[in-house]
Amino acid sequence: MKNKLFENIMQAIFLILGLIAVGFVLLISFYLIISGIPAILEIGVFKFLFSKSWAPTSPQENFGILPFILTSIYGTSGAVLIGLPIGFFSAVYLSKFAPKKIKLIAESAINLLAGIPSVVYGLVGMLVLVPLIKIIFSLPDGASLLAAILVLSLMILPSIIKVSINALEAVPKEYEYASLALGATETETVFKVSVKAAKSGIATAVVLGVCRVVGEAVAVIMVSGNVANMPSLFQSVRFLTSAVASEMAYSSGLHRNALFSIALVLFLFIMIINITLNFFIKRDRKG
Amino acid sequence: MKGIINAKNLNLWYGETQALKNINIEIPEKSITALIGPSGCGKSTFLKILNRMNDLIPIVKIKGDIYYNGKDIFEKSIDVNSLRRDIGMVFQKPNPFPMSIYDNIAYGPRIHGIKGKQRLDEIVENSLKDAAIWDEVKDRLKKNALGLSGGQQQRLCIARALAVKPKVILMDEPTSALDPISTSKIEELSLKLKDKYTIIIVTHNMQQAVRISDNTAFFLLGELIEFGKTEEIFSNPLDKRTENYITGRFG
Repeated sequence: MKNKLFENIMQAIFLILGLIAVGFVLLISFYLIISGIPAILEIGVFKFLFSKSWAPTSPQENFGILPFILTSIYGTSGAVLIGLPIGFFSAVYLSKFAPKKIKLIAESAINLLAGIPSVVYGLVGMLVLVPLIKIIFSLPDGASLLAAILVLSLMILPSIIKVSINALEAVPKEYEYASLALGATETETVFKVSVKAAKSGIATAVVLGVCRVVGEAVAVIMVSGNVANMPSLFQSVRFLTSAVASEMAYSSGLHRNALFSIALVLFLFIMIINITLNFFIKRDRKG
Repeated sequence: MKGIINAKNLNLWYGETQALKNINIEIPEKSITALIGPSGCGKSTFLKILNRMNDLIPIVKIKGDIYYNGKDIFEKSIDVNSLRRDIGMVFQKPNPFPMSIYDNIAYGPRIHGIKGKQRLDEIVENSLKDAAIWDEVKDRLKKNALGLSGGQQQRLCIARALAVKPKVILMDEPTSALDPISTSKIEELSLKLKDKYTIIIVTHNMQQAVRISDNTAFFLLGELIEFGKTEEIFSNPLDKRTENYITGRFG
């Protein structure tokens, strides 16, 4: 009897602990919706999402976040476009071809890269990358969408590489032996068998990478110039995240509420990305 | 009958441990050769070097020669990929790729440059028929191969090996993970295949060796103790150690 009681108590404790995480997600969603909706309604959904000018403090105030939305989309796509192939091929090399020593060194470097705070990425980007872009493309200012994309693509490398390596190493050796025994070369085996078998793990790596990029604020504030322009590769831009982070401190009234609305849009963004990619991963697993 | 595979004074070490000691054997074509012996006797090691799967283990050292069709397989000029195409392998645990049944069979031919749906369709059908599994899977070729039973998976793996048109098929305890019915299907299949292929099978199951093999090689502690006609090995072994093993005194 005593054992049964103990079991029940333990189960209840685990249930409560498990519910804490779920509870916070619900709390955050709830809070964002409550505080984000009023400004959207006041400004008008269409005007808020698709108007091109963000001028919260000017006498003719305007709250259009299209520049932020597009900048976030372009920035994320650009970072994934650059970071994914590099990360993927590094993972393939490190898990299947690299000598043990190189793998060890590279893996500790990658772990270190993952642990570097984003403000440091921003700082290095600001001191090295931004002046470099300014010189190479002879621009008045190097702080630009391009700088942000490059920093972001570097920032997603660790998660893409680490998760992909785990996925590739989890592929049973027997698959690879079978392929080699049929006369396939090692490269053929890796790309036609191992990568195929690991594709849902690699897709997970992409999801993690994308979510990290979409949510990144500090580093992009430092290298993107943080001006609410419509996005263009060599111009200063502002992301959804940096809009919230940089203006929250001094905003008030409708401006402040509009920032909550931006946060809500950002939140929806991440939800949509997660759901779409998870849908593809699940479908792959079944097929 | 002519020997398709000849080992001459073959020695093999894993690091410091010698796993094969001076093996000399001539394996006849289009027949089934069984390799028997207790665990760790070297029979699986011997099987795996025949298609150079040992290349994957860096600490292996080999002295001596193995000739396949008169050519030394350790020669630098040998193309390992075409050697493995000629000498196929079926593993202990069924290991179909996590793909459709069709793609499993078509994988090998595609690797070797065969294109065109019609040709691939033909190869897939013939290979599955040769492996006596066509009737069971013909309606679900697009389904994932991992949905098949263990015995079906193993026959699928045999079909996959057949699809690249090998001359020799190495089988490493192919039935040890299977139930008796699946085992007997694989045995029947092997007997059918020996008309066209040379089969070398490692087995722990002595009845299996008796049932299907023409010749048997008995390995012990890295040495080839005895090699000859299966009937003779089992009815009238020359070596005392062979007799002890097949009568179940050790192993």
